[in-house]
Amino acid sequence: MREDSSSRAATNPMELWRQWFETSARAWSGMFGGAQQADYLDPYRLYRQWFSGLKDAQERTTESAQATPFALMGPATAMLGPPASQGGTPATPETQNLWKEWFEAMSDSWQESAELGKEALELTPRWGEMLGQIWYNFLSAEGFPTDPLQLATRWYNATNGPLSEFIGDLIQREEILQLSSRFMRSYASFYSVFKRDSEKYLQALQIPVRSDITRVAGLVVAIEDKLDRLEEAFEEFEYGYAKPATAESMEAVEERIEGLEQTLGRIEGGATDTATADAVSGFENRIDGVEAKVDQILAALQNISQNGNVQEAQALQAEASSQEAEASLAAESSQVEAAPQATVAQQTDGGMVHATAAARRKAEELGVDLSAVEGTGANGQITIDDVRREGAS
Amino acid sequence: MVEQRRGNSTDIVPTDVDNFFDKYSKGASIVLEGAQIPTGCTPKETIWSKNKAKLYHYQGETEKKYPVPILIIYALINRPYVLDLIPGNSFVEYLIGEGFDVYMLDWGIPGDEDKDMTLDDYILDYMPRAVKKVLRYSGADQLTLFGYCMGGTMAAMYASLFPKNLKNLILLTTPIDFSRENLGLFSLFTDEKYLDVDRLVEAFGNMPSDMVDTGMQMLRPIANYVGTYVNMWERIFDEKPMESWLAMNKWVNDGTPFPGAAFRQWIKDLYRQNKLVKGEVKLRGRRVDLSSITCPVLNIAGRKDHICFLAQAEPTMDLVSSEDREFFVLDAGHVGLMTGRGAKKGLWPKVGSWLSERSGAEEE
Repeated sequence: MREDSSSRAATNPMELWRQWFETSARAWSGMFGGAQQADYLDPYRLYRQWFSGLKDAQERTTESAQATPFALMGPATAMLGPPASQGGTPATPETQNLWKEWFEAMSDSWQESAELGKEALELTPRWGEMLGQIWYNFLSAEGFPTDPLQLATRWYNATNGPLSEFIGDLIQREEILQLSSRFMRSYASFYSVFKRDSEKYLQALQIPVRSDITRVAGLVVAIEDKLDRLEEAFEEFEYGYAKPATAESMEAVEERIEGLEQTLGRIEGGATDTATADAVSGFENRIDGVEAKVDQILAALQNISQNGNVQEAQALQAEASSQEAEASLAAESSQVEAAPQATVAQQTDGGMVHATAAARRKAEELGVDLSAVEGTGANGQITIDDVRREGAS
Repeated sequence: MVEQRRGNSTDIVPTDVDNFFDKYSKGASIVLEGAQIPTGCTPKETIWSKNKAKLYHYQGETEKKYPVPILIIYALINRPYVLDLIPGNSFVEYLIGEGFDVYMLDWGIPGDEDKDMTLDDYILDYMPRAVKKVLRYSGADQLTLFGYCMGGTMAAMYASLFPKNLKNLILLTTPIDFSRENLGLFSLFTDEKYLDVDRLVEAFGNMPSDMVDTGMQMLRPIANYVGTYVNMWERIFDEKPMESWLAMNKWVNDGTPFPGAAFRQWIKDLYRQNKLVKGEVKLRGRRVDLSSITCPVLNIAGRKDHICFLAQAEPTMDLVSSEDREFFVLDAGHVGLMTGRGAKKGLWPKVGSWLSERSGAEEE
C-alpha cells in the first residue's frame, strides 16, 4: 500500500477500507513500538471526519436544545476517571479528546431524542442514568478499538445491559402499552378495511381473490379429512379391531369414494379455470396427493371384493404380518401391494404396466407414455409422482 | 455478552485485503439475504400426513436398543427443525445414535384455510392418529410422548385424555401454569386492555409470525436485534465455525403463523384465565384433568428461559398423579437448552439416560 494513496480522496468504499487499515495498522504498530512519530499518522482521520460530520449535523438541528449532555448523568459520570488510567494501552491526550468528542456527539444526539419524548414520558432522568452507565461501560474497557468491528462489539457490550433494562422499564409503561395497543388495533382495522375493499373491487372485475382460493382449499382439506377417517376406519378393519365388513358395505364405501373422486375432479377443474396459477398449483398438488390416497384405499377395497371373501383377505393380511420384517410396514404396504391386482383388471391397453388410476389420469393429462415410466411404488407400480417426474424431464 | 477482543493490531488488520473482503461480503450477504444452510438433515420418512401436518420417522445406522418409540410433538408456531438443526448439533441425531426409535409430528405451515383450527382439532383429531400410526409402525404398545414448548402443553392435554397409550411423558420448557405473577411482561402484552385478540384474528385470520415474534423479541431487544449480528461479524472475522450460527439464525427468522382460532384459545383460555391449572379446559366437551396423568413424567425447564418461565413449568409437578416424576432445571434459555455445547452436556444426556431406564430395554 502506497502512502500517497491515503491522502487522495477515497472514491470507492474499497479504497476507504484500505485506507482505514493502513492508517490504523501503522498507528498502532507505531505506538506499540514506542516510536510516536506524528509525521504521517493520523489514525483517527476517519473518526475525526465522522465526528465533525456528526457535530455539524448536531449543531444545525439542535440549536434549541440547551441541555448539557452530562448534566443528567450524575454520579455515573463522576465515577469515570480518565479512561486511560483504566486502559492498558497508552493513549495520547489527543486521542483521549477525540474519544470524548465523539462520545459527546453521540450522547448529544441521544439526549436530543430523549428530549423529544420528555413531555410525554418524563423518562429523561432514567435515560440519563442509562447513558451514564453505557458511557462508563464503554470507556472502562481496555484500549481503543482499531477497526469498525471492534468498535461495534464494544459498543454492543456497553449498551446491551443498560438499554435492555431501559426498554424493559419503558415497555411496561401505560403510555407505551396504550400506544402499541392502539397501533395494533388501527393496523388491524386498516388491514380489514383494505382487504374487504380490494376484494370487492377484484370481484367486480371477475378476478378470483384470496378468500375464494381459501374456500376451495378449505374444501380440499375437508375432503382429505374425510379420506383420512376412511383410511383410519379401513386400518381398524385391517387390524381386526372392527367387525369384518360385508360385501354390501364394501360396495357402499366404494360408491362414496367414487363420489369423493368426482367432487375432487370438479374442484380441480374449477380451481384451474379461475384462480391464479401460483396459488392453485399448491393445492393442486394436494389434490393429487388426496387422489393417490383414494387410489390406495380403492385398490385395497377392490382387492378384497374381488376375492369375494373378506376372510381370505384377512388371512392374506395375517400372512404378510407374520413376516416380522414387514409387520411394521403393513399399514401402508398392504394397501399398495393390493393395487396391482386391481389395476390389472382395469387395463385396456399398455400391456402389463402397473400404475395407479391417478397416475394414469396424470399420464394422459401430461401426454406421458406409461410404458416408458419407471415405477417406484410397491412391486414397481407407477405412482403419480413417477409420472410427474417423467413429465417434467 | 460477546467476548471482547484485545486491542492487538496485528490480528485485527488482515494482511491481505482480499481475505478481508471475502469475509466482509460473506457477512453482508447473510445480513441482506438471510442465512442459508441445510437444516433438518437426519434422514426421515413421512409415514402419515393430514392437511399440513406430517409425521416423520427418523432413520439411522444405529441398531434400535429400545422398543418404546419416542414421538416428538412440536409447537404450532416456529419450525421443528430446531430439534434436528445440523449434523453434529442435532437432538434427534443424538437420540437415534443412542438407539431410540424417533418420530416427530410437524404441524406444518398453516394456510388461510386453517384459521378456524382449534386446539381441540389438533389434540383430538391429529395427535391420536399420529400416536396410533407410530404404535402400528413400530409394533409397540406404548410410546414416550415428548412435547416441546406449547407442543408440551398440547402433549400434556393429550396425555390427560388418552393416558393408556403413554409409557412416558417428557415436557420440555412447557408452560402449564399461567398465573399472572408468573408471566412477566407477557401478562401485560396479553392483557385484554392492550391486546384485542378478536379484532386481530378477525382481521388477519392466522396471526402473522412477525407479530408473535416481535412480542417475544421485545423482551430482550438489543440482544435479539443487534447482538445476533455483532456475534456474526465476530465469528466471521475470528474464523470460528459458522454452521450453528447460520442454522439458528435461519430458524429464528423462519416463523410460522399461529392458526387464528388456536391463538384465540391460547391467549384467552391460558394466558388470561389460566384454565389448565384449574381443570377448566374442555376440548369438545371433554374436560382436561392433568391428574389423570400417571405415567413417568420428566419435566425440564430453563432458568434463563424468558418465553416459558420456570414458574410456569414447575407447578406441573403438583398437578400430575405420577409416582415417578422429576423436575429438572437447566441453566439455559428457551432455545439454548436444546442446541449447542450446553445441550450436549446438559439436556441430551439427561433425556437419554432418563429414557434408557424407562424404554423397555432388555437389561431392565
